[in-house]
Amino acid sequence: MHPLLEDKLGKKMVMLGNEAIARGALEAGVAFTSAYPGTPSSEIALQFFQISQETDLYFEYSANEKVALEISAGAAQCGLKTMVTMKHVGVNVASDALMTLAYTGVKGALVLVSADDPFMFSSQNEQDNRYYGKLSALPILEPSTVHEAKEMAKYAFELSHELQEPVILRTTTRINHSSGVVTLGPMAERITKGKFKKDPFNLVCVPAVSRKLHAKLLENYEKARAIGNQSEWNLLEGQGSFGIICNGVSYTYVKDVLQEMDAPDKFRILRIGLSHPLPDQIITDFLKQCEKVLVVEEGEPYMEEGVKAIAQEAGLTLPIAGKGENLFSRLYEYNPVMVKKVIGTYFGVPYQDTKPIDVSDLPEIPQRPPNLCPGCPHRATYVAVREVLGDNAIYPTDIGCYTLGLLPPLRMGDFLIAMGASVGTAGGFARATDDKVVAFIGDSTFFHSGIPPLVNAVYNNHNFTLIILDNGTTAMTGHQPHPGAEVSHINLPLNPVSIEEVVKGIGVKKVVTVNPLRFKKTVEAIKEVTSYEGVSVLIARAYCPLFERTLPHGKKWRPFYVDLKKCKKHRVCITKIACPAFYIENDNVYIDETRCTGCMLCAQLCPENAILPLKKEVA
Amino acid sequence: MERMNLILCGLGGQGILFMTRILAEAALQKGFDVIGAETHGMAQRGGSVISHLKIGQANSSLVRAGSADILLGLDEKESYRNLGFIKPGGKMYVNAPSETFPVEKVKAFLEEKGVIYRAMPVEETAMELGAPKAANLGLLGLFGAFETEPLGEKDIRETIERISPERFRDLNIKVFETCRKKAV
Repeated sequence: MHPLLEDKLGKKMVMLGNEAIARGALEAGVAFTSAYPGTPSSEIALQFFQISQETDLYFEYSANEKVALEISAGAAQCGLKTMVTMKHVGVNVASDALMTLAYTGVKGALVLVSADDPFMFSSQNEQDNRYYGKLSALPILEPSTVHEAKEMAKYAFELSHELQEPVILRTTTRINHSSGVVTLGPMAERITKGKFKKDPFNLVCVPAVSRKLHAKLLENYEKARAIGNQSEWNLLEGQGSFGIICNGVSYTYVKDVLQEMDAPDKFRILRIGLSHPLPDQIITDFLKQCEKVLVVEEGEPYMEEGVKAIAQEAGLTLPIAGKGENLFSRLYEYNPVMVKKVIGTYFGVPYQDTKPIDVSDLPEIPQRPPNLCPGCPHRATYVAVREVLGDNAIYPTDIGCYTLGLLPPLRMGDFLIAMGASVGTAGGFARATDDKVVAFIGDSTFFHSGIPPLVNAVYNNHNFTLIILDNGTTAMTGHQPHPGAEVSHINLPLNPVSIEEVVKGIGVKKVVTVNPLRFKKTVEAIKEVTSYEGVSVLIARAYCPLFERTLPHGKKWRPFYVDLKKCKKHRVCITKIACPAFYIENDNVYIDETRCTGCMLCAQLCPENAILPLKKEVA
Repeated sequence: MERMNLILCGLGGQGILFMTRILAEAALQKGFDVIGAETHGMAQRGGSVISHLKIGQANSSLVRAGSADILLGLDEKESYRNLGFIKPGGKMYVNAPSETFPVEKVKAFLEEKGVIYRAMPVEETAMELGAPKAANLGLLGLFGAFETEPLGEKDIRETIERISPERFRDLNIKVFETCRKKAV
């Protein structure tokens, strides 16, 4: 049985924030779930994926976040309790549907998890999705701890059902990827079939209908505000006259700091958990009891702006601050040390400045940025493209493991903004320069948002090569299937879509498929597709080695070694390939046999044929 | 014990998250509160990985600089990188040969701060046992050989038995036990 299905009431379990969210949804009776994976949200979907294989919970990995939201919106219109999970930028993709789904509302319940990523541990930007609350007029809940993530996820279903609106559960990486102790509550019954009642004059958003629905949305917004003003998720603590308004993980930092400052009677805290609409009455009452207020929130001054506006309406003139010089930054994530410093300075409360231990005269450790894994077929494709075109082409790239190809010596990546944008921007680069343009996109990203721009390129006669890096899985986020991925080994009755057929169906005339681990053939194929005038596609297909290991038919190759008698230290293996399995000791190149996957790329490039398979296989 | 702050560090793929999970589960089993923060996603791809763990009551999951009671390092250099987390008088368990660890400068630093350090090439031992990816269990063996409170050898072994995937259970225990005995 899946551990999250444990039904021992009151049992304590250590969970990742994302597991806690999934558990909360299960306790609320969630019946229908969908997602496109994305750090830091991916493990929520993983739980649903696993649980759907042993229960009647419906889960699907959808082609992209918009589709994921639409699938669940359909089910929610039939009365089901649904949850959709995505990373913050995924909400941009889903937002077209979300903005008007707010107009129609939902019948059962729909909870959209937006996992924001301050500091961009694994993202292209650090946008603050609380503004989606303002944009859509939908309620937002923000947990501060792992246990609360479970409780709030559960409550989000109640709130959604009560308001008949989607509800956004907004987290940050430090919630999603924190672990903590969760106390299990009872599981609600899962109702997996619903009924759709036709109601076109409330559900078909033509202008006449939408004019009426927008007014209804604003009524719901007022209802949500009233709920927020009574909500226990907006916690009040302390009796002092120095006020701190905070949310999410910032609350835990504030708590740690105040415990240490030894001035508990000076402070008063308002932790806002239901952060959209802002609870204006609670905030007004809070402000009235303070002489000075500091807003502690990572990201944008979302609450700060709201609190200042509320103060203005109430005619309150006390100082309210948040972002600014000597205050908090809009950049990156916070930590307890930073929070202590700002609280101490702003309120003029003495504090012990934690000086980090001075490590300046210790040996400098090289930075270790993330890197393509040993045996990664993307590296092989990149080495081959560099061999053919070097720096004489523009390389728009896309979102996935292969983005890491931007690092030297591969240096394959000139422009990256969004999912699918390598294909979209390629035509612009080509038209504006007449340079050779080679765009890269992964298999999962291609299905996510690479198809419309490819249609566009064919229709508008653009001139570039698209290389689809097909490693058979959504690798970066933990090997989730995608519409092109073979899933028969896990007995899923799905119908994988062929990339070749899609590309040819769109009308691309030049389509070549190659195994990038065969270096010479790949070089030939690259020459062929890049000399074609118009849109050409190269599909570079080889499994992600980490994924292949998990497949029943996955092959295990013998690791290689460098024959030092043959090696003449050309260092092609290091300067062109730079696989992390290589290391240099005493001026010799060695291969770490525990890291080498036996992909043979280096063996094909070594001018002395000095890289050979190890005789016996390591365990 | 009021609270124990731990930093676990190393490289993506070395099993830091599993090592964290074992300690967290063992602590919960003994009735302690636990809270931790981990690195997932892109950052894991062969890059530096760090995991924070607090055993006992705490609000936030991040261990701040100069406040870790214990640092567990699966990679020698990553342990150096994270030295700033250790509090004066803290302890350090590292996967590295004891003859060469730590390098001179670090040694002077640790001695000045009164940090107790123990190093053992647990990855080598794991490899000899046919489990090159189980260095994390080996490091827990080193930890278990010297630590008793809040978690000791018995708590960790029981948790490894309880939460290891079936097919790795025996090997995990073997690596843990072998390293622990070598360390004693």
